[in-house]
Amino acid sequence: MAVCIGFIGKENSPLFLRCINQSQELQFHYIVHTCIDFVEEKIIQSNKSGSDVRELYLGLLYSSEEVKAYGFVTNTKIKIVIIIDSTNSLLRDNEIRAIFRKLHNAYTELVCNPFYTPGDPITAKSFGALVDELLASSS
Amino acid sequence: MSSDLELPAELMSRPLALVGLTGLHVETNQTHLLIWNSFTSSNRNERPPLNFILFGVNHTFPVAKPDRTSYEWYIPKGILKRKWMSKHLNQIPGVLVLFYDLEWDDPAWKAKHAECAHLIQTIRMKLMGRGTKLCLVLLQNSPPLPSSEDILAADRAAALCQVCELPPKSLFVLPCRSDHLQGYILRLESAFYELCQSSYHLSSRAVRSHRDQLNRTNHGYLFVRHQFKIGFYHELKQDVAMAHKHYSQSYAHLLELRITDANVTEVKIVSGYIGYKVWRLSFLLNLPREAIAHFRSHMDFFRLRVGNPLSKFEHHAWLAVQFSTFGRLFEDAIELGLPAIQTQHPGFFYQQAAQQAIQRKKACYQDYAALDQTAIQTPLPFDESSQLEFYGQRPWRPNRLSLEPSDMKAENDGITALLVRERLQVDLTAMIVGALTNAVNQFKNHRSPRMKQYLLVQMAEEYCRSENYAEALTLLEPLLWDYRKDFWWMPLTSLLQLGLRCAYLSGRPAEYFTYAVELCSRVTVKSQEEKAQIFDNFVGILQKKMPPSPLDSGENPAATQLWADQFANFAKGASITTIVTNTISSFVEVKATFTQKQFAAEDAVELEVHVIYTGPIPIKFSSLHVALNNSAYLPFCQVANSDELEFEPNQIRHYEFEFVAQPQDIGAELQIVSVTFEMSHELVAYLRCEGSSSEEFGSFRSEFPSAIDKGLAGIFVLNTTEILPRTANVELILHHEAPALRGECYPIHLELFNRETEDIVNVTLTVTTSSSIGRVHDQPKIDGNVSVQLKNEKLVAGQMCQWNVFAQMEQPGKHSITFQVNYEINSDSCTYKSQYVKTLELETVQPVECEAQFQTLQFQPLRQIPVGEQCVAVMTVTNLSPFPLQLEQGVWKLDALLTNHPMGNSQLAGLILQKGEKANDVAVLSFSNGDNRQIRTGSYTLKWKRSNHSKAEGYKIPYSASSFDLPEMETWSVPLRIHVTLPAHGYVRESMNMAIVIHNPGPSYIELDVYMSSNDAFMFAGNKQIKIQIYPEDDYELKYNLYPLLSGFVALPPLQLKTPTSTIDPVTAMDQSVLDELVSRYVPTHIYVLPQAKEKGKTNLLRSE
Repeated sequence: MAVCIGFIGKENSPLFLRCINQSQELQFHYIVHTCIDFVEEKIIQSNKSGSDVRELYLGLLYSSEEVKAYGFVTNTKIKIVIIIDSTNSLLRDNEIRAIFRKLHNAYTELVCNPFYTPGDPITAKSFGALVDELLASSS
Repeated sequence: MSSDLELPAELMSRPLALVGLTGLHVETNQTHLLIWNSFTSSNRNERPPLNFILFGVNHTFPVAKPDRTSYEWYIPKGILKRKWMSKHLNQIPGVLVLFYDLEWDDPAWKAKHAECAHLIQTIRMKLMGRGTKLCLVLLQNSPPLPSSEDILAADRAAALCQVCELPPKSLFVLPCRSDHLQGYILRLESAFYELCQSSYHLSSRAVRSHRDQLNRTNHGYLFVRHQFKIGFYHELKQDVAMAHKHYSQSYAHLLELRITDANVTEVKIVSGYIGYKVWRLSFLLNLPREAIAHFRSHMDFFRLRVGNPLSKFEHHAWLAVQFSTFGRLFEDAIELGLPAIQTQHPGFFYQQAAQQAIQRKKACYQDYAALDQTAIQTPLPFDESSQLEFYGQRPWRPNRLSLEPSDMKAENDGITALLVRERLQVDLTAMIVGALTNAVNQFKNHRSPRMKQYLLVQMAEEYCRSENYAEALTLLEPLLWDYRKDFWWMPLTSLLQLGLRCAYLSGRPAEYFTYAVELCSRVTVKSQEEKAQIFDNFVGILQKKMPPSPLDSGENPAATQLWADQFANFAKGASITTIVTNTISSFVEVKATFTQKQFAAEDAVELEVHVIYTGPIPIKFSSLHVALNNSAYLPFCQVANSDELEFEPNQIRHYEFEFVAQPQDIGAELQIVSVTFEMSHELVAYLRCEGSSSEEFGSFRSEFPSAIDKGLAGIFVLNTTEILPRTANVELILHHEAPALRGECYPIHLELFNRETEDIVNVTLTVTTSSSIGRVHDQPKIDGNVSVQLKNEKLVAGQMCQWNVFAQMEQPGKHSITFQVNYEINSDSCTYKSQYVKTLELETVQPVECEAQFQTLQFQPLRQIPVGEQCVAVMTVTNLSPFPLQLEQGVWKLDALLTNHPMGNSQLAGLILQKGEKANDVAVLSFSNGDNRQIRTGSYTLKWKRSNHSKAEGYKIPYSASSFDLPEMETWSVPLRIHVTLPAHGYVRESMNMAIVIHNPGPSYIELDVYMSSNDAFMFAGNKQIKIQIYPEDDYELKYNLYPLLSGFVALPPLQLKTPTSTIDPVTAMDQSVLDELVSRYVPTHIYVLPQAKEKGKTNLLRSE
């Protein structure tokens, strides 16, 4: 089940992070931070291959004994990371894609809000509620 | 069981087939020693994979157990026997070789061959029941013969084989006196290797044959053990693929076992061992994916099989060993060329090993804390597990069938004893740090810097737990920066807290203060109350109050003592630390800026400092300093009144400073270096905000975009300002007559008017030419410098002073000359400097053009200079300048071989040439000796000046010299010189004499045919055709009597010289064209013939008719 969802800005600063278990928030900050390594590597590789149409969904970033991390990067270099418990084998790739698509839409709507400055940490309540809902539904 | 956790050496070494050598007396026999050394010498890599062991003749081998006829009632007590592998690696050879000294023609053949047979029999008895093959090697001194020729040898070999009951293939002969001993040894080795393979093959077959007698219910252990043995035999055989297959089967059988709390440790240990073999061989067979998949399923299967709840620490220890073992195997495979990727490399396994080691430590400490004191003090009730017969069994119930119900009391006591030992004797921190270090190296190599940071965080936490605070703080420093620079505030907060804790426990006020200050900043993830508490703590440090313990357990006496010592070391008013706030996220943010980009020297420089305070509770700084790059301004840029430095949370204050720039800073740049806040009570701490030249001061944007508060965001920062000199108010007027002539001493008249309202002093005028080819001088001389400085002590207001400078340009074109006036004004106590600059673009042109030509004395152009004759050089001088030029003289400077015939003064001296006019200068010269060659004829120097220098009164302008090169010419040594004596003119019908003297100047004899043709204008008497011979330096004279027939400018009878066809020496013969040229040069072709005078007209007329 998805245990954490994180948004990272284009300069690699955290924008938003929400996890199911609040007591593990610090640990997920560390884990989401490590995901940047893999996202950057994937972006470099997709640049090398030189295809014009960039796939936003990066797929599995890495898997360890405890968690699996999936990545997504928007055209404005906003990175979205979903962390899933390694023991969970129910979530399939296209379900994760679907979650990412919803998150991307939510972010797009957020940026349309004139009171939000892109690059600032996200504090909007509606956005938080939407992410919470996605976390709850995928678990 | 901890000793069984680590993989045994015999498991990890690569199994080599064992060959036992016996019968070699290496201590007494040199030949035997040589043979033994040849077997064991180096470069094993290129030789069959064998391990040689020397056995004495009387060595006793481990006795084989008699084969079991039925397994019906047999119940195995364990899975893998501890001694089995090392027994087959080191004690029971696959092939045993007996060396025996025996010649085919040995006189004591009979006795010896019987002894040999006896030895073989003894050995065979000792190895009864083993698959070991026997070999006999005869050591012989005589050189070998081809076997077909040596009938005796063939017979005796057959006999020997028979009596020893050896197949013929197992008998070898080693000629030990041969030079090719090493070659024979190699051949023996390959033979032994083959025998070994078949021996081990037989052994594995034997093990396999037991299978039919086993049943699944009772003999699960034996299924595992037998497959393992078969795999091991195949590995000894170097059959990796088969070994892999059997090890995998063995592992599969293991998973089929019924696992209970009683046997779970044994199964786990053994599964790790078998797994190790499977993974290693998978990597060896280049099946890394299979290895990883196998390892993952291995982990999944055993992850939750803890067994006895007390032995949780053992379970984590085992997991940690599994991960680190696999990581090391993976790493070894990468070293051998396996490519690894960012998401699949040994680092992940090492990371897990570290995680499990951390869990192990946690479990160990927790369970230990729960023990009662009596259990800790009771000694171990059992032997070391390494003494047990089977791997992985519990020492308190050795050799007991694991399926039996166990005695719970003994079980718990045993585990408790292990726990005590683990807690007190095992260095768990070193294990954790070691695993983390391995993981860090791997992630570093695989481009995962942030994963590396995460691991370093864990390492720092571990150091902190193990009370190694210095190491923890060293690790923390760079990590803080890593998380801070990308604004990961939550990890940063946690690291700062860790740092605070370490600093507290190791008694470091400076570090504690720094971390506390950063924790109080706006960005950290802490409540305002917590921040306020921390704030009080670090303010307390300044009052020498020890901060409260961050531990849950309350005061720590050791730390209290450390802090007391530290405070004792600080004198009153000593500085604890200086925090550079740019590099951390601090609670004061500063922007310091000059109000303008430039300030005039007479104006005051204005400086503004904007401060926002974002701390949790009000603060009162004791002073504020702004440091510029010149410390002289420090007194002007400080706030010492602490009332002005009191801040409420989120308050912004502005400070303004002004000062007058120092004289030495005029023209320089002032820069804000730092802004420092001082916090002082008993002790002092400084918060310093630094600027550097490369970036704007106070510009946090590059470092902490989101840290900047909106309050200061709009303020534009000017980190540097320029102090400009006073605006000058003088005027410089230049008088000169452009264009300048190249090389000329060009006078420029300068007039400087003081238009200031006050007197100016120390006036200096610096004249500089732009290029290196220009010169200036303050005297009318032509050797100047690139720049010249003119001075005037004082110039009264409204007055003017004058100078003359003389410029000289060596090249035509545009040149600029810069005039820079510097002066000072003394008003009151201040001295203002001013500067005025004017630039002159000076056009420079070529003054004269000279063209040189060589001519004969008759002013005919010469192509070559004839040797030994006079000629003239003509120089045509043209005035190209727009001004009339006065010429002083032209000086010829000729080549040493050219003799100049003095002509008195130059013809040009004193001449004035108007624009465009030309003048000629002539020199007569002769070329004394030499032959035909190219010579540089010399140069011509013309001295000149303008004829009307009007403005430069009182100065005598020197002549300038222009030099021109004369053209290069060829010289020509004339082979014949012809001199014709002829009157200047003749009269019609009046005879006249012509003498032609032909001179031979050369060193050789000349023969010539001379022809004198007649023409219409003359009749002549003399040789019409003659052959003449002239010796060197000799003359020949031809005389003619000419009688003109016509008047006017008439042609003379043409003279023609020819080389005779019959010349003896063709070398000296002259070319006809040269002869023609000589004739045309020396012999006049025409003469004026005058008619007869009128008085004598009658007679003349008559004659003409």
